[in-house]
Amino acid sequence: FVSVYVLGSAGWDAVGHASVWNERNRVVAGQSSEDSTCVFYRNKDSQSVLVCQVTCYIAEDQLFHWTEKVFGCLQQRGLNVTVLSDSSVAEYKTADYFSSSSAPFLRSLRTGASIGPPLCQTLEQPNIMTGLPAAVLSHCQVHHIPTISYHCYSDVIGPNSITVETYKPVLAGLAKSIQLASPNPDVLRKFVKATDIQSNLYI
Amino acid sequence: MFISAETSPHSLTGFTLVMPAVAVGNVGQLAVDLIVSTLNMTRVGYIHTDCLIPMAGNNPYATGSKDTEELHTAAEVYMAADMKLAVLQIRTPIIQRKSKTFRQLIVSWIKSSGFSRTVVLSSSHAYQRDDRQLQGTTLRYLMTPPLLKGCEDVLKELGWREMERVSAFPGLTDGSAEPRLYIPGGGITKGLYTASCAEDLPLAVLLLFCSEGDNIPDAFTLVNHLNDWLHLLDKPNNEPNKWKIPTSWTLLFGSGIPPALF
Repeated sequence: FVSVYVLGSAGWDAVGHASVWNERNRVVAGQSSEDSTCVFYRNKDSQSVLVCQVTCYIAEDQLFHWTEKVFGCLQQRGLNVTVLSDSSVAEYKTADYFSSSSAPFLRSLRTGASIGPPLCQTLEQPNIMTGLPAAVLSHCQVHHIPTISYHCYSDVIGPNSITVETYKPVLAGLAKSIQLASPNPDVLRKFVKATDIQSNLYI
Repeated sequence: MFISAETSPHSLTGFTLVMPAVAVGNVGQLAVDLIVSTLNMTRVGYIHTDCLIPMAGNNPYATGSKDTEELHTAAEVYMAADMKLAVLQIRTPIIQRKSKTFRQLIVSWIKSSGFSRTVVLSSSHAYQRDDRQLQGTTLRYLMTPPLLKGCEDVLKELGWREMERVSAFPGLTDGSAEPRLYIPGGGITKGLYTASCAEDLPLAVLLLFCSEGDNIPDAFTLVNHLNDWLHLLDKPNNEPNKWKIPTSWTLLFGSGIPPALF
């Protein structure tokens, strides 16, 4: 979503990156080591808006330190954080069976310091968030940073235009800070192609 | 480390601390959930550490629509001031290789907070019991010497069994091998106990022999035993031993069944 709708416009500068090494980033010949980093982009027009694009895998025992390091470099005063993440709808627990027509859908979690009306339903019990969104939320909760995390439950394995569009209402709320670019189809095509190669079992 | 959630932190000196060990069947953690939920305890702080896998979710003890949207993390401290009770809840596994660090963190936090006594709720693999342990109650206790001094009468009255020492090499008749404490599946329980003995901290361990599965009955058993000792539910407005199941316990074994399956 971030690549297609946000970074698609030319108004973003890459201003830094955070690298992690774990056994899942093997540097293959021809593939640069930049694939194992998370890149930070700053908006040219609105210098106070940063986007962090996380494309690599961060292991469980690295989550805490990654979060501490990244937030250690950010100014805490007036900081507002939004996290976008996704997972399969199979991980969503609900008493009524969810027909697949409701997926993809969004659920949110917010820290105590976060104010303002929610843009989507809150995550119901007994569902929880783990991984990087949880690490960021925990850090922000403990340090009283207003943070909202939007989690998309999708019934499709790879990225696709419908699932990616699910996040649009979220950023419509942030329209002042981030201009939503018109979706760049080439970027989306690149993502979809990358996952297609492994799925020729079901042709 | 402990980070307070309150603007003017309460002192926990003199409180009783109840905490779970992440152990087989998660019995200690389930028992702690029952305690926090029933006694309506308030959160007073977080244990913010790199030793636990991160996790976040809405209020697991929500009673209505007002308190549902409250973010809770992997390890938090709750308090019931009128009962001088503090409870630590740990919701995620300890990261591999960080057990010793986490244990040391907990021991130093216990020391610095000045708890009058600590009770660790834990469990151990039922299949690893030796012949003596197969019979009778599945509850065992351990107490460090400083706590044992004041509790001898209570223990006699309760009729609890102390966790047996087992031989290091069962079957070998070498008499020189001293029996040792062995808590398989107990996580950091043994480490906490031995560290507390070394540091002269008043600490008790209450554990149940159990197996993985539906451990809700085990949680009730453990928390009822704890109540026999600490009398958490002996207030007149509470029915005897009526524990409140938190909302987070729904769907423990997965979502509802799709009707199209049949």
